[in-house]
Amino acid sequence: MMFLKSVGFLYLLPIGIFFGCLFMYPMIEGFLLSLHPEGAGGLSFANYVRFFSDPRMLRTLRFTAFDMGVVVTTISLFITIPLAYKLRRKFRGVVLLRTLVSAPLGYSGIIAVSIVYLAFSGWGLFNLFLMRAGIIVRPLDLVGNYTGVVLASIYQQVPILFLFILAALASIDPTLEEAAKTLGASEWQVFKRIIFPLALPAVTTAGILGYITNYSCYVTALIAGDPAYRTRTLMIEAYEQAYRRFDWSMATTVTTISAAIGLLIFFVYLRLQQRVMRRGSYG
Amino acid sequence: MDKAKERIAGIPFWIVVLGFVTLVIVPVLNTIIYAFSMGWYYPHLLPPRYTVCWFIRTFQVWRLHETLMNTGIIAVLVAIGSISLALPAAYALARLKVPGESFIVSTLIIPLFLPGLAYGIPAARLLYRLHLNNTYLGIALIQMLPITPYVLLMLRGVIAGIPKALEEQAATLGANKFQTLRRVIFPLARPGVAAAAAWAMARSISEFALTSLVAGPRTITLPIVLYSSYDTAGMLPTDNVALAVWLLVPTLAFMSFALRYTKPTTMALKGG
Repeated sequence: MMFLKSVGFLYLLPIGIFFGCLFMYPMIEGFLLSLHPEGAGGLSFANYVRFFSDPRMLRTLRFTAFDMGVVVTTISLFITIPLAYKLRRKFRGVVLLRTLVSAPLGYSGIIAVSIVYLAFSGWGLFNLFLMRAGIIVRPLDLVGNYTGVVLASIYQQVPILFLFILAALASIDPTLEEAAKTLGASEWQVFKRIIFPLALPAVTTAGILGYITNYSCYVTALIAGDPAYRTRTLMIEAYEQAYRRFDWSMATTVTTISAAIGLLIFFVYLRLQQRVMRRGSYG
Repeated sequence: MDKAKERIAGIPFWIVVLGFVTLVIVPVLNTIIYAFSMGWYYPHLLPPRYTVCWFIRTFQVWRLHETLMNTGIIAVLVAIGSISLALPAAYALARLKVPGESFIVSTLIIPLFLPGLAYGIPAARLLYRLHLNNTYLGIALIQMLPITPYVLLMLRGVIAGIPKALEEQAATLGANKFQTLRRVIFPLARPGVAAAAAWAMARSISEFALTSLVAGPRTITLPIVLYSSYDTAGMLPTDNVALAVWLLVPTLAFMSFALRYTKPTTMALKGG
């Protein structure tokens, strides 16, 4: 009741109605629809049983959660951490390098996927250059498969993670590093013993956000990959169930399952944020 | 000797930096050269001839004038819609005491943590029932689902950044609540609001997945054309490239405008 009496309630009403009508209500409705499979009368978990027993669906789930989520996020972090580490201090040309690294933020989504696809395809600049240099004889198959999805994903993702981790590294007191160096630590030791532990909360946050992006992968797998089989993600499956097979009940089963996994990750993220806030180690 | 050792230890790091910079530059270079090239294939390192005919062809083959208009109208609708929903909420969250504030914020940002189609497909079902498919309003509404939470986070930062003392001074000098809003808050928030609007438009212009759920023949947007150009018979790679450039230029323009005024990390939760 106190909430209803406060003035803030009125300000929050429009956005609340919008999300209530177009987000919450359809999601609940979708969940209920998933419990009414095509052809069956009454409530039934048949769609969920089908999802978790169909090897094709399980393969899609594994690809989305592991091959996209875990593997691509790990690759992105392994690229981002050295990038942020090297570009964390001011030197000649650092602004240019930082701009270049974060440039894909300006055109993510279908544009980034398209131009990566075009550049690494059989007639793109990359293969052309390697062939002219005599390194390869015929074009490498870099797109239309998992490699293409990985390339297009890290192209869009590393810039975001870079800004996150760069902000965290910039807030580390430089005297710590100098002290370690004075005491004879090598660059690698400084990185391993000082920089990395202090940046760990930011790296974890970045990793979770990266995981969500990769787990949600749709258009990237559609254009740069092989959506029919090898790089089929949950979202491609949901779209095809709804718009190709018109089995909306199965489609909402897939969306409910992926939303449940997304919510789970969201709660993990909130808990971590709270812990970090309490410890105050990274703002 | 220590210096030399340090240099060697730094080499793997620099390889990663150069590798990623190459990965960023190659697609952009490839796109720009290809879009203006004629007869560019294997033995030629650079195109033998340059042309703008691919851009003209996009108008002839894809009726691009209609598509560009649709895309623009939807982007404006999304910017207006998301800001008018998010601005009052951002003001309340930044300035007023709202009970359960952190709970409200975390509820409102849930869409950022779910795959677009996971809420898009159920929402599209509702929009079909309301006969809003194949309309500008329907596409704008579904695009606003992931865009509004970001705009809210950005605007909350903008309003929290306005010094509270200014408002208090205005009140001391006899301004009422409405006058304070109009004369103090709005002028100071304007650059931030413009940046949020530009960001919303950039996202709207390049949104493919959600648009494809409700778009119809009368409301085709540029990303839909770009996607369909991949599996339409008789399409040349140059068509894809020319369409990508049509999409790249406005998005990059709006995005760089937005990034000049806001910290990217506040909105860097998800790219697309």
